[in-house]
Order: sequence, then structure tokens, then C-alpha cells
Amino acid sequence: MEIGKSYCRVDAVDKVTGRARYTQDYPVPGLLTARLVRSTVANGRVKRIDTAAAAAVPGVRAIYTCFDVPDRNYPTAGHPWSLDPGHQDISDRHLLNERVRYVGDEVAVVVADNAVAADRAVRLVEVEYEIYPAVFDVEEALKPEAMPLHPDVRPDNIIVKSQFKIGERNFDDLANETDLTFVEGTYDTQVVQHCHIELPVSRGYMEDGKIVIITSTQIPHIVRRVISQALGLAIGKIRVIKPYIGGGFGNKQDVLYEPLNAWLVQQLGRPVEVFISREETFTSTRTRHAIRTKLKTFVRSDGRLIGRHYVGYANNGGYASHGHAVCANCANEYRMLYQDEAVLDSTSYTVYTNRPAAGAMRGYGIPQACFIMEAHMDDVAKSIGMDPVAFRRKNMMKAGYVDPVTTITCHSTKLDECLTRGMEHIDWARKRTEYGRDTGNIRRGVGMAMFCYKTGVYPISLETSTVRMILNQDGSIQMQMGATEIGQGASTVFSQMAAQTLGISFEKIHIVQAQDTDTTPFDTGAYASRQSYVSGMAVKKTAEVMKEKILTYCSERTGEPADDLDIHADVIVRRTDGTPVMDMEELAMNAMYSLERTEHITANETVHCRDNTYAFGATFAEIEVDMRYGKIKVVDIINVHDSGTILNPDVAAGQVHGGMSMGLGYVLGEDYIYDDDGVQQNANLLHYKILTAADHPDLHHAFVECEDPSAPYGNKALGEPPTLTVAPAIRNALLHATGLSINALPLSPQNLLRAFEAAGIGENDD
Amino acid sequence: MIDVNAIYEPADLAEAVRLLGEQTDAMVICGGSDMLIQNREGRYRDKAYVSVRHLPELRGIRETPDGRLMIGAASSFTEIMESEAVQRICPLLAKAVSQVGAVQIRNIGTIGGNLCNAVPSADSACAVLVHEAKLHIAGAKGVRVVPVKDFYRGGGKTAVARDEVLTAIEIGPEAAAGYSGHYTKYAMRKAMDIATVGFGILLKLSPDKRQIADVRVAYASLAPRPVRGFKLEAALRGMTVGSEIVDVIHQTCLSDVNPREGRRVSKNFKEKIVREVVKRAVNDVIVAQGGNHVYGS
Repeated sequence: MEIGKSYCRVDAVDKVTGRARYTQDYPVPGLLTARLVRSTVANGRVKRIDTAAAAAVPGVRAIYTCFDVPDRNYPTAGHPWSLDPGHQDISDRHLLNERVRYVGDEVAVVVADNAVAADRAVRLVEVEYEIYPAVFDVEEALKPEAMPLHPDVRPDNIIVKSQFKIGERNFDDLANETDLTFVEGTYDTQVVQHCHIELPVSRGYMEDGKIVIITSTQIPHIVRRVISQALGLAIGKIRVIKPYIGGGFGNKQDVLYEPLNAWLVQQLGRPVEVFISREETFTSTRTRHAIRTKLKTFVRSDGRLIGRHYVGYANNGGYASHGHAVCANCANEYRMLYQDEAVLDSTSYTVYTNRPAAGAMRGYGIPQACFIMEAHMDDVAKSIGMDPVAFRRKNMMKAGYVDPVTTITCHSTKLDECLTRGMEHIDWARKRTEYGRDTGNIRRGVGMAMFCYKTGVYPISLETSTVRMILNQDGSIQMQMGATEIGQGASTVFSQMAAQTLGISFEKIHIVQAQDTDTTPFDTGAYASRQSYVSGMAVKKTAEVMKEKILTYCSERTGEPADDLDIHADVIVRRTDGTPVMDMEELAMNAMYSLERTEHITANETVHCRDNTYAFGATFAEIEVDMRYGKIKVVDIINVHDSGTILNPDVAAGQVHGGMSMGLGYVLGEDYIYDDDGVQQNANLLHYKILTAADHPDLHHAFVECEDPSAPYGNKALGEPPTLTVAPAIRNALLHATGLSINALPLSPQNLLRAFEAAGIGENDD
Repeated sequence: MIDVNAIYEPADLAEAVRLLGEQTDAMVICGGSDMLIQNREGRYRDKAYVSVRHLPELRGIRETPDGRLMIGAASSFTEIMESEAVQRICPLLAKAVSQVGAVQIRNIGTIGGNLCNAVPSADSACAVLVHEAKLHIAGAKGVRVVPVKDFYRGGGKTAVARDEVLTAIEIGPEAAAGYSGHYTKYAMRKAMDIATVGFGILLKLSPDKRQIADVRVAYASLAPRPVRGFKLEAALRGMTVGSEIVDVIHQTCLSDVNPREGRRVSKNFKEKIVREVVKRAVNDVIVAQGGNHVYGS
């Protein structure tokens, strides 16, 4: 059994020894450097660009402006392309922009011999703007007098408005019932950033009549398709290579600067690198959507949810990127995790504003959903004096649930056990009674939050993956996949899957770690926690076909019926008694060189996935609040996960810890701060308060396993779930500790002191 | 690549001073942890850098025969933290610099650079101010000694001219003898951060532990430069140890400082925090001196 073993990661040795090559480690002779010139206004139009002084800087080779690029819109979202025009990603992006829509939007590009020359030239480019009034928040953008930011795409600033209602009754009619408690609130999440350690970078050159782009991306095959759309170039003339990358977390699930890079290579006929600095990554790549929700709930005294009303607004920034999918996902979570007795009435808006484009970020609307939903659930529980866990148990999704809108079925659930496990770890019953009554400066509380998370994007979008396996002469397997290793451990678990299904030892599975669209088969890439489930199905299917071909060849050689054979630990054996028939190396050598019949045994299989399933979990946290400093100390925290069968416990633990870390930053202090003109004031790692190692408590985790029947190896989503419930668990612990419902992130010292002062607590106690 | 015209590495102080005199676009660089960031952001380009990092005259921490502590300006924060002489004579300085950035920055950042960078948030500044240190500055005409109260000139400038080099920080033997010290760095993170509010204090109680005999305080990040808190000192000096101290702090400490509305941190927040920081710090040093608790549990 290879599944469930904590094999050392197949990329570990190269990465820790410095041997691993990332995009900038691939030498490209004659490489020039490109740097962007960016808009200083939040909303406007470029009237004139003067490049004379910049062009005179020694080492500058070319300067291109928004007036030089093709006047063609293209989409950037990391989604499989839809053949249905009604469902296609919005194409609203030019390579360089005459019409600018946020501070930091790109208007021109300098190409030079080196970074110093490029940087000097960028500072000398003079741009004159016609300035329009900017709209920074959803309310401003929705006003009738607000300027539509993309009139060629939408008549106003609503990208999409969607609605659904579950249940026949009218929500407002519930007000007439006498035995219900009504709770309402507005809940807000903030803009944050992925802070992947490797910055966005790509290198492009011409070879073999093709444009080759080496890039730090999660989605190489999608990058290829988007370059084709942006340049009007046939896909077969484009090659994208994705080497090791230093994280992505969704920022690289968008096509960022590769099309521009490709266009520059085309224009110049020279190799060009486009490198985006950390500051530019903050201001000019993608962010997590800030989502505001207005929630209304009717609950019965026994804790049953009778009706809920949801209105959500997502601030999408100046370009569509992933569009409404994130906000819709948020509303879906609200419907899926809990069911109402009478009605759920839900409306969602995704809105253009003059902010950087929001796109995909770990959790894809669910971190937001979990904050607002789980904060509200604690508020509702408090209103009827019910324990928060008992309240959730009374209303949560049960096994067999079929979602009325997406039809996604709950094939397996261990959520209840996750809750029990979390309660035990944190000593819930005792601390809920003992804590929550401090009146001094240090106040203690415990809180929790839970989630469900689907695995991949079916049926909302296409789910497909292909895997290729090739037998080497030594009996080892070459495995090629379009699915990407982005730090989550994909290459390792795919190797374990192949080893298990084939019966070939783990060490003899050689997975190609760098994707190359010339040679690695199609897969949409790493996102939606999809790969172990969907690409894993393709590994399993391909391995089964591969095994069948191996055994068929062996059968031809030996006369033993193929059905009677199996492979076990690199040896072909008889199923009945396990006696060896031929070892894999001997078979491989024969298949390769036999004078009677050669076959270069290869399997190449596509899985078109038409299923989905829910992973579950919860965070339990204990905190101490220093009321007058406004500081939260996380004393104890645990994530408990039901992700089905855990493929590799050590790798899985790493995923959980990383996700918890991002969740802690989300709740304790990450935020985008702007001035009144839309200029970000904290676009670097000093002023943007991502947590350091020193700021972390011990991170505890536990898995409650089961075998999901729809999954290739019993496994369910684990990439994104760890980050979903840390923020609301801590917010709810704060509610317990102080009695205060704080409904906006982050719970930073400034925000806490402001809230404490408004509530009249903390200042003069003790 | 760094956008700078030239980098010089003189072998000794005399050569460094000569280079600074000859090259009018030259400026001093030491560890570089401030200047290279500023260079990245577009400042200090079109310049020559004269490195003083390895000058033998600027290195080392030594005690003179009459008990004065001479800290070489190119001493790293790590060297200061680990120095036996510093821990004995002015332990507050070691405590303060131990909170700079992170291990990596403490290994290359220097006290000379921290002071000459002239930012109001410098972690070493409060300690240097309350010890009433003297700064040794070398130029073409020799070495002159400037008391720290005249060191910061405002507007990001110090008493060190463009063609001079800060060579040592001198702390007298009586500066901290018998005092208890505390440095608070209130920041958003436990590492890799600059002080939202910084506060340094040296305090001594009377022999019967009932009165504040002497106190010196300094604030960081609350004014255009690090400042002594003379009004608070005057109010606290001679006070009986008791809860009235907390009220005096509450009413007085803001009068020494001038926090502005920040781009990321509001003035109102800073004012709340500084009152709290000072109350806790004063309490801590009183208790360390053997006096009774005056604030907090």
C-alpha cells in the first residue's frame, strides 16, 4: 500500500540542496530585461507618452506603449475554456492599457540590456493622463452616475448579478411568526495577497518557429491558450514550460504577463524576460476579493434555522480575471454547509471598481464565506443562548445531501467526528464555561468554525486530465502529466498513486516535474484542490491500462493468461499464489529489443470527471486578548480535517500548517491600505503584515479519515481547506472572550481598539 | 545590480575621510541594511559609497581604564547584544537592539548606521538617549565629541556632516549604575518590523524604595526624531510610589511627543498605545527596583 505512506517528497532533495531550477535558473543566451511603466492614476486615459528621455538611457533597446499593442481584448482567468459563449471568461484585458483602471495598471514597457538601465528608463517615461473620477468601493461603483469601467463589456459596473432561492416561502413572511428570533448583521472581509515566495517572472524566446515561454505559473496549458488568444497566434506555434515554482496560491492561476512577454519576443525577435517586483506584485497582479455580506436569519428557540437571507457584494477591481465565479462560490457555501427548514434567499453581485483586479486566491470565495457565515452563526447561537457547536450540528449538511443548484453529492462525511475531535483537543466544554467572563485586561476565550469544500469545479466547469506513462528498459515508469507541482506535493502523491495501482515500487516511478506543453499532456493545472481527485483519476486509469498492456505482453511471452497475472513490487506474479513469472526489467528489455515483437509500452488516458464530493473540517482556537494593547495571542489552535483518505500524512500536514498560517495572517493583520487617490500605502513585506515564523503559535492538526467512494484513492480536497476557518474561529473566540461581535477583518490592534472604544469596554478596567 | 556610481573600500579611517572629502557625491555606507533598500526605492543613486564597515578604528567594544564604554560605530547589533561589557554597564542597550528586525539584520546592521539613518523609529536611539551618550565624529580636522542631545537635527539630518564619519558611541560609567531599564517595542509583528511606538526608560528608586529618585525616558516613532521625555521626567522625579504615578503618566506623556496622522497608523491609536506602553514600562522598572506594583495585574 503506497497510499497513506509518508514518502519523502520527490522534489525535496533538489529543493533543499539548491539544485532545483526555477524560471530564472534557465539560461537564455542574449536575454533582455523588460520593466513596466505603470499608471499613477486610478481611473483615466493616457493622452500622451513621451519616451525620448527614456530611450536615451544607455542599454535601452526598445520602448513600447499602449498605442503600439494590438487593440484586442483577451481573458486572463485560469479556467478551462468554455465552448458556450454565454459561459466564457470575460475578455477585458489589453497587453498595455490606454484606458487605465487602477493605480499600477500597465501603460508602457521598457526593454533593456539589464535591470538598472530598464529601471532608469522607466523613471524617465513621461505620461499625461486625462483623469476621471474613481470609484473604489462597491457602493460607489453601483451608483447610477458612476462611470462604467468597461462599457464594451458591461453597460454598468455589475459583472454579474446572480440569485437563487431554496424553498417556497417568502423570507419576509417569517417575520409574522411569533416563536422565531431574528438576527441580522453586515460582515466584511478585506483584500489580501498571496505573497508567494517566487515573484512572477517569465522568459521568452523564439525556437523552431515557435514562441517559447518559460514561466512561473500554476496553469501552463491555459497560459498557452491565452497567449494564442491575446496575440491571435495559432496554439501550435506556442510552447509553455513550467519548471519548479516558488508557490502560487492562486495568483498564478491567472495569466499575468506571459502574453506581453510573448508579444515582446515577437516584436523584437530577441529573448526577453519580464520580471515583476514584490511591490508590483502587490499593486498589479491579483488579490483576494473583499466581500461584503448582509445577512438576516430567523431561528427557532430549539436552534433550528428556519430562514436565511443573503446579499453579497464582491469588489472585483478594474479587470474581470476570474469574474463572478468567486462570489458565486461564496454564496454556494452559504447554501451547502447548512440547510434551512423554510427558505434561503440569496443574491450576489460582482462589481468592477478602480482597484487592482481580484482573482483566485486559496479558497476561492470560501475563506470569505466561512468568515461571514461562521461569525453570523455564532451571533445567532448567542441570540438563543445555545452552544455554538450544538447549534451547528442541528443544521449542518448530512451524508447523502445533494446540492439543489450544483447537484454535488455528499458521498462521505466525517464532519461530526471532526467537531468532537476539535472539542476534545481544546477542552471545549470546560473552557466555554470558565472563560468568557474575564473583566480585566487579559481576557480568554475559545471559538470554532467549520466548513465544507468541494473537490474540483465539476459541474460548474469542465474537469479533465490526461496522464501518459512510458515503460523504461529498467522496468521503471516515466510519467508525464499536465498537472502541476506548485509546492503542494502533487508530484509525490501522483507517484504514490501510480506505484500503488501498477504494483511498481515508488522509487521506480519517475514523474516529470517540469511541465512542457510540447510533451506533457493536457491538464488545466493546480487549482480548486482538484488535482489529487481529478488528475488522480487519470493516474489511476492510465496505470490500469498500462498494467494491462504489460501483462498482455508478458502473457504473449510466457503463455500464462493475462487475467491470471498481477504485478507486485516490480515482479510479475501469478494472482493465485504469488509465484514470480518475470521481473519487470526483463519484461521491459524484451518489449524494447525483442527480435520477435517489440512494443514500446505506453499508456495515455484521459479522464473526463463528472463527479464531485465535499471535504469537511473545523478549526478550534483558544485566545488571550490584551485589551489595552489590542493584541490577540493565539494560545492553542487545531485544524481537524476530513479529506477522505490521506495520501501522504507528512505532506498533508505541511499543507495544513501552510493554510493555517495564511488564515492567521488573514485574521490578525494582513490588509491593503490605500490613500484617497487609490495609491497603496503598504505594497511591501514590511508594511504588509504577513506573519513571520516568530508570530506563529504551535499549529496542531488531526485527520479523521474515511474512503470517499467517488475518489480514485478515497481522497478529497486538502489544498485549500486548511485556510478556510482559522479567521472565524478566532473571531468567535474573541466574541467569547469579550462579548463583542466584530464583523470585519482583520482583527488588527487598531481595529480592535476602535471596536472596544465604541463598545465602551477595556479602557478603564482592572 | 545596484544603481550606484562607485563603491570604495578604504583600508583605514584616514583614507575614508580623505575619500569623502575628495568625492563630493560620496556618502558613508556600513552594513547597508537601510541604504540598499533606499537605493532600491530610488534614493541615493548617482552617488559613490564609501564603506566603513571593516575600518579597524570603528570596530570593537571596549571599556576605558576610567570605566567609560566605547562602542565602535561599526559594531553589529549582535556584537552589542553579546558584549559582556555592554551587559554589565548598559544592559538596556543590549535589550533594545535585540529587538531590531531579525537575526539576519542584527548580524549586519550597526549602531552607527542605525543612528546616522536618523529615522525616529530606530530601536537603538531610545537607549542611547537615556544613557546621555556622547558621539565621536571624525573629519578632516580630527575627532570631535557631540552629546546625544545635540545629535539629531531634524529633517532626517544628524550632527555628522557628509564628509565625516561617526566612529564611536561613548557611555559613561554612571549613566545606568543602580538604575533599572526597560525598552518596549510595540509593533505589529514579533520580528521584521519597525516600532509603531518605542519607549526606553532608566529609573532609580530611593533607598527605601518609596520614591522615584531619578528617571530618564525617550520615545521612538512619536516625533520627527527620537526624543527625550523631559516633561514626563520632571513630573515623575520625586513622586511617591503609588497609583498616582499612573494618572501623571496618563496626563503628561503625550506632551513630550508629537505623533502625526500616519499613512497606515492613526494618531489616535498611537496616543492610546503610548500611554499604555509607558504605564507598563514604568511599573516594570519600579518593580525591578524593589518597589510596589503600581499598574496592571
